[in-house]
Amino acid sequence: MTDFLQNCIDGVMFGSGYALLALGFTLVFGVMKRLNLSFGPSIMLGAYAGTWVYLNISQNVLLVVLVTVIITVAVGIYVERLCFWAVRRDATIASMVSSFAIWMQLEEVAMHLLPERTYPFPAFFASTLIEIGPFVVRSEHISMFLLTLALLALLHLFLYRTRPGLALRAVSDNPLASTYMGINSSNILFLAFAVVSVLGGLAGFLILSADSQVTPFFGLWATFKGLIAMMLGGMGSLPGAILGGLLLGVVEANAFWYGGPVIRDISAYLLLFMMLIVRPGGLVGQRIVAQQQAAYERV
Amino acid sequence: MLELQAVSKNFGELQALHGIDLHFRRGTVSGLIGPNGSGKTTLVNIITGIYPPDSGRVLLDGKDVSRYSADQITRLGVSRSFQNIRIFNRMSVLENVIAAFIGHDKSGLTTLLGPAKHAGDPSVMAARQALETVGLLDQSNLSASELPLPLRRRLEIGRALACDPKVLVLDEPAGGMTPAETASISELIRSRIAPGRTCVVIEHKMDLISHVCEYLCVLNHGEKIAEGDPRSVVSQPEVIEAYLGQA
Amino acid sequence: MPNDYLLTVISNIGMISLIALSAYLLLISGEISFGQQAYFGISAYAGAIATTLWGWPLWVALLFGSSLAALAAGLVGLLTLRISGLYFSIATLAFAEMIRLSLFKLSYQIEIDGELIGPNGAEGFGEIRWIFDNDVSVFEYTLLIYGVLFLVLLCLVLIERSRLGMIFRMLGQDPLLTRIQGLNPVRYKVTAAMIAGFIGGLGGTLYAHSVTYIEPQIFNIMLGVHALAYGLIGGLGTVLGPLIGVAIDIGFLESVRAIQGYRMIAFGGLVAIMLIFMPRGILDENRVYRLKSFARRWFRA
Repeated sequence: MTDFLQNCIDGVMFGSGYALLALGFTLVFGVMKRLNLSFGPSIMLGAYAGTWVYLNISQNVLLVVLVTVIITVAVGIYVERLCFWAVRRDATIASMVSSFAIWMQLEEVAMHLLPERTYPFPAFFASTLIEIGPFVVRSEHISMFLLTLALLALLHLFLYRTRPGLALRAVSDNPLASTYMGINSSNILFLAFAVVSVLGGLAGFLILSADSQVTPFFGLWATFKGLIAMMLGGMGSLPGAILGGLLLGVVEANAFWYGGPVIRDISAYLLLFMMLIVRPGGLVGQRIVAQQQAAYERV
Repeated sequence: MLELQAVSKNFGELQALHGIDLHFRRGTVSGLIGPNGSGKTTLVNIITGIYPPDSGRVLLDGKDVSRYSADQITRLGVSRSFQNIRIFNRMSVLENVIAAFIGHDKSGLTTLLGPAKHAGDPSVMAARQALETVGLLDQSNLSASELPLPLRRRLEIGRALACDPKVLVLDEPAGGMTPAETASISELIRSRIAPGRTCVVIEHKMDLISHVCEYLCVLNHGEKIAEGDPRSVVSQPEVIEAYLGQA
Repeated sequence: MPNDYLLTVISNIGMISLIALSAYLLLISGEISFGQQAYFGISAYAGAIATTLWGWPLWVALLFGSSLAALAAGLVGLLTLRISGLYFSIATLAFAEMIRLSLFKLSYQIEIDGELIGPNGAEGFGEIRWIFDNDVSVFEYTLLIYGVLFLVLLCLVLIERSRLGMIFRMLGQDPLLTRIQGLNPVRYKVTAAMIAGFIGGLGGTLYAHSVTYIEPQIFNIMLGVHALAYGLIGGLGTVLGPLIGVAIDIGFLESVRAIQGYRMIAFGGLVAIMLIFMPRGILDENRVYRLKSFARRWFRA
């Protein structure tokens, strides 16, 4: 029982990272009704840039964070312009396949820039073990968790207390009506991608520094974890992204403990598959699915 | 022949239909009118099986079809057109009508794998016949997306007519058309379509209604507020009030 | 006699075309599947096990592997009936990843001639020696691949012209309207899924015997999305569309030495740009329709 609870604690800690990634997906989906499959790779390129700076220019952690975020945002804008802004409104498949094509492109760019299998990534947090009763928590995981909460709070402030945030929520809810209100949805899309890229860059930094290394598989990994967490919580739902991330973290931690790495990954996908079949709206989003159904049946 | 008994339907908190009792007699052309949001399309969707009523029954020739799916109801001989025109845009005009026949064929494996557009095929010939009925034979090979609005409406009606339905439901067949086009559609419905078949027409345009319908039913806020002979219904105070507000 | 390298490229085009056609069929009937690689993989392993461990002839193994793939596809089709759009797509992705990861756990080895042969998790499955044991040259195997591909194309063309094909296209454009025509989408969706799974399966078994070594990592999402992309680039208006997409990627890009090693960058960029202007591919429905009308008029003259 202690093991199970310990796993749950670990899961929640690590799940906060997943939650950040999921938020990135969900924000873009909310505005665009499409998925950005290049999300993970763009964070990876940012992280690679950060690593490069760390190895060749300066070990200043703040600088690494900055570079990571800036490059992630730059790549994010590239993806946004090419795959989303330029593609016709109704061609959703085309957008997603396009973002996947760019994913392939980015992965190859990453491979050429840094051909080694792994690189050290600055450990932002000191690593100590903290004991709370019978449970053990790693300090860098707690730091990541707390920082994630802080980021979530900032995001919430942005979305609910600022005008650009309001515009973003408006476009997510009803793009056409927003245009009539004078909101330029193209600008909002740009803004969404920028915000999401900042989130992603920070999430990537937190996750990688807790791990203290970066590998070329990070892009794929980040995309999938973010996607799964988002779908578990409910596509397009912000609280869903958080819940989904935590759920994923907990399930994975337990699966890993009892079954190993492959079982962990299979469990993640199995959970996703079952959720999609039984309750596609995720933990939170049944309303969204119902809305989509209704829109479709509007004859 | 087509009966609704105490049919109600809610969408969340919105009560779209409330205790509707209707009887559409065989062979009549009935009009269904009412202000926007009165529940006409909801009613028609329930009749054609797009969703079931929350309570009440729909009877087709005495059979309870309330919970039947849209395809089951179509196979029983009910056909419809849509307010927003639904046609297969990436197929040709002729193919759109052939599509209607495919659903009605007894589809064994050999029928399924048989060619869809072979000229000698009975469905193809019947489809061309249907197109001729609505005056679209010349446009058979055009892509459906190339047709202008009035012709697309004709295509939809032609497709709905193709399998000789027992019940034909038209949802605003003259929507978006000029008075001249409306008159043309109206004549089409009256002369070529109506005889012997049960029709339900939702419309806002009174010229079409008066030209075509023998019986009128008026909905407002999900309730039936009047029914009967068109001339008398239209002059009832509740009906005028529903459309124009209180005098 | 063309050299072996060229033959290998041509073989690959043939086999990958099969998985591209698999994704294409589903795309036409309205569903975006990111997971056809699952059936490619199931059949690759099953077919290879059949010939290598059980001594079956290739053609039986081909049918066996593809049928198993078709069954799996049918199961997924049934499970996902109630979901559509993005939910369906992600579900197919999840299933494919489950299959790939399960292959890491698959260990089934038999001792043959003193050696342990068979799939063994991450170590993969090597010694798929059917081609060597039966003295089949690279050229002959390439012919076999194209023979199968030709048969598949023939079947797909026949389906396209048939009522079944028309139903698939109707489902792809408007499932609700298809219901209104009196058709129950369920049986057709599952049928489409199973046919697509079978076709992908054919490619898988052929692939396993061509490369003689397979491992779970091959059947990943990259393969799946490539399969989808080929149809999207080549055009969704005709069965030749996916083939064109495959030929562009493997054939053209592979052979232009200048971009060796940068193929993903080039292909990725190419796809993205093309999808801006031609979201349904080079030979999309409208262009095919116009070509056909043009040809009809030209032949009449």
